[in-house]
Amino acid sequence: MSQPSPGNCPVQIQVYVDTNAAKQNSTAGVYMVDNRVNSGSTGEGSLDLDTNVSKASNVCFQVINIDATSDVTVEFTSFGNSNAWGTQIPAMWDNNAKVWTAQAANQGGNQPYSFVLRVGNATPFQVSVTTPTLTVS
Amino acid sequence: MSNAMVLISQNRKPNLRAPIVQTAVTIALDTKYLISQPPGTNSRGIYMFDNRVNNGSSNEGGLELSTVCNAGDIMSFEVIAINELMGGSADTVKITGFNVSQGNVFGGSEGAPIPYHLPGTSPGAYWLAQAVNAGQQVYQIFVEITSSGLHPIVRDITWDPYITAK
Repeated sequence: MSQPSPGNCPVQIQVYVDTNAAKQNSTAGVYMVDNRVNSGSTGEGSLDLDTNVSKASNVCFQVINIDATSDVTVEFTSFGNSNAWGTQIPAMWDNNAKVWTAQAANQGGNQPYSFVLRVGNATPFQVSVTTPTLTVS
Repeated sequence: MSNAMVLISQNRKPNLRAPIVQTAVTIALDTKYLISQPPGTNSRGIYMFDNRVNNGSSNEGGLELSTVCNAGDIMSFEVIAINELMGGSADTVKITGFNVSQGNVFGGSEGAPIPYHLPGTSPGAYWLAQAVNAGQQVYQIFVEITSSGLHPIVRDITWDPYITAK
């Protein structure tokens, strides 16, 4: 399977970062939403987001600094394995570390997935997020 | 895929010409859901965040964010469609105005919100204001959503968040 483009992802998940609150070994100031509240997603606005999707749906992740004027960089550095992804975990799109895409390959309820953010410029630190889930039906 | 949309995301970088913003409020909108709802019912699909949770803000991610800023702060307000990267299927969002129903943190016209074109943001989606006075304020934010497609649907929504300036 080729990697889906963001424009071909009916499932869009955004990660918002308050860089005043974000710090190493913490998830303070990190929040998640998706465009699927009408499909049964729960935990909107939090890292307990459970996104409800159909099997084989393309999924796009985007990370956004809450302050658009901030010079603090926020981007994804990796995604972890999950049954939801199967063998193809989310990958960076078009050399833009703020946008990663994948496909929900396997059915299952509340399948956990994880990712790591890098926050900062000269002395960046990492934020590990392990609590969101995908319900694939 | 719209390469332009990816470029917008990549280009979301600091703008040295912008005023220094101390308190940023950003609102994510599940536009397809909101357009599907009758006007005036906005309890879901609106998620507010700010960069002031360390200053005492509460209800991050909720509909009625309570922002705690400092008196004198320049504030930004931005709306973002959660489906903004969906190319031709992306909906557009903009702020059309504000009202203050209780309190006077903006100090009337002195700190009243105005649209500001920040490169990397959509037209009308980014506004600046100033928390001129200490105190509490209830305000209404007015947002217009325009759906993608041959026959766009326009939906106006509003709700009532809070600002406390210390």
